[in-house]
Amino acid sequence: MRFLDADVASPRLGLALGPGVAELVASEPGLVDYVEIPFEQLRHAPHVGQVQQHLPVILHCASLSMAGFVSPTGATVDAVAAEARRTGTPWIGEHLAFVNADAIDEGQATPSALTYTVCPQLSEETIVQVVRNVASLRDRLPVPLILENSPQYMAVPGSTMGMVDFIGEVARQAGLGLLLDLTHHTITCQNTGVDAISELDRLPLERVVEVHLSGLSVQSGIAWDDHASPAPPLVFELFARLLRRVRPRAVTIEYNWAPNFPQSVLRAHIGRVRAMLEAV
Amino acid sequence: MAAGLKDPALLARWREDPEALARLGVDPAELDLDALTRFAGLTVKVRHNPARDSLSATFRMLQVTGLEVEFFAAYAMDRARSGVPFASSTEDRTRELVAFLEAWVDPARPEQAMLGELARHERTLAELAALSPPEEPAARAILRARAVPRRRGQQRLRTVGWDPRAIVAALQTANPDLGALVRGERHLCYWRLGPALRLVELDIAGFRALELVDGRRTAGAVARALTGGTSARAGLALLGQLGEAGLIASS
Repeated sequence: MRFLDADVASPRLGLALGPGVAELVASEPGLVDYVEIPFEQLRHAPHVGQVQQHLPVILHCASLSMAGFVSPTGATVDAVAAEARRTGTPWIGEHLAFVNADAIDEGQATPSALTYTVCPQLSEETIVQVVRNVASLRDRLPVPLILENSPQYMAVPGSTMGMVDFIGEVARQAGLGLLLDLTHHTITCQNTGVDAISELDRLPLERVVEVHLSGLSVQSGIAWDDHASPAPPLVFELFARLLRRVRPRAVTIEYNWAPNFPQSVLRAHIGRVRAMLEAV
Repeated sequence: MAAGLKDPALLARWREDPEALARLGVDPAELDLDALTRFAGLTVKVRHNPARDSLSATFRMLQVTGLEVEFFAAYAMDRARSGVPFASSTEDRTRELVAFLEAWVDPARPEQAMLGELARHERTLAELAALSPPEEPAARAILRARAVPRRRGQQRLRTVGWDPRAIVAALQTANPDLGALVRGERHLCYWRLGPALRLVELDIAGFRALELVDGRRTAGAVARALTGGTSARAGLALLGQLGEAGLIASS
C-alpha cells in the first residue's frame, strides 16, 4: 500500500476515482500523486481500494452530514474512522452540507437520508451546529477533517448570509481547514449573482488544504456541478489567483463521471495543473 | 428540502398546495420548487452515471442540447409518482431509463427526436454486444426457391428518421452542429455475427426482405411476398444478394 507523505514541501496532484482511473494510474503511476476515493465507495465496493497498491489514497466523504441536525449513526462514524486508518489518509475531506434531516409531517415516519449532499441553510444556527458536529467527531476520527464548500443551486430558506461569509465563520469557529472546490465556488457565485473572483479573495484562503477542480453545466438557467465536463477557464483563473496567495497541499481533478471522458483533455489538464503547482 | 429531494412527489404536492408547505413552517415564496425539482433530477442523473457506459452519446446529447437536467427531473418526478424504486442493476436501470426517454421525447422537436433515435441506437448496440451468440457455420448460398433462408447471427432491424451514425459523429466534435443534420428515413440492420458487431444500411427492398426471412418461409414465398407475386425471380435475386453479404443463409 502506498501512503501520501504527511509532510510535503510541494503540493500533490491527484484524480478523483472514476471509470478508468484505476487502470490509468496502474499503467502510468507517475502521472499523478494520489487517488481520492469516497468513503461510500470503499464501504460498498471495497475492491476499489486496490488502487492503493499503486498510489496513495486521500479519503473523501459524504456521510457525516456536517451541516445537518441529524447525526450520522455511530456505525457510520466508526466505519469512516476505520477507512481513514486503513488508507492512511492525511485528512478526511467532508462536505459542508447535510445528507440527513429530520422527518417532516407529510406522512414521513423516518428522517430523510439522502445519497447526495445538500447545501445547508447559511445561518448562525447552522454554524453553531457545524461547530457542535465537529466537536463531537474530533476525538472519534484519527485524522483532521477538512470541509468542502457546497454548490448552491437555489436560495435556502432561512439563510441570513452568503456562502463566503458562512464558510469563513465555520472555519474560524470550528478551527478547521478547507477543501476549496473552485467549481462549487463558481457555481454558487453564478447562481447567487456575485462575482467569483472578488468572493474568492474574501475566503480564508490560508485555511485551504486541498482544492477540487471539475466541470460545470448551465442548464435551465442554473449552473450545475458536472464531473463529466472539464473545468472551464474561470475555474483555472480562480486557481491561478488562489496559488498567488496560498500553496495547498493537494489538488484533485474530478473528471470522474463519464467513462469516455476525453483522455487528451484529462492529460492536458493534468499537465496544466502540474505546471501551475510547480511554478508556485 | 431533504424530504422533497428524497421523494420528489412531495414537490409536486407542494406546488399544487402551497399551504401544505406553509404548514411545515416554510414560506412557499422562499423555496424555489422548480430549482429543487431540477436538483432532484441532478441527483438521479448522478445515480445513473453507470449507464453512461452504454449510453455515452445519449448523455452527451442531453448535455449538448441543455435537456439533461430537465429530462432527469422529469424522470425523478415520474418515478416518485409511480412509487417504483429505481432498478438495482445497471442493466435494468439503463433499460428503464431508455424506455422513459423514448416516451418523454417530443418527436416533433428535431433535437428530441434525434435524442430518442440515439438512445434506441445505443441500447440496441449494447443489447447485441452483451449476447454470447453461438458459432455460425459458413453461409450457404440461397439457390432455390424451396430453400428456407434464415438470418445469420443476431439481427435487429430498425427504420430510423435520423441517422444515429451521423448524430454520433456530430457529437464527437467540440461544438456539435446538430442543425446541420438532415432528417431522412434509413433502414438499418444491427448485426452481431460471432464477435463482430456491425451496422448495415439497406435499401427498402433489402430491409423488407430481411424482415420476411423468419427461418420458416421458403425463399420462394419470401420472393413472392416481396414482389406481390409478380416476379419471384427478382425477389430471389435480392435474397441472393443478402446471402452474398452474409446476412442470410439456407437452413
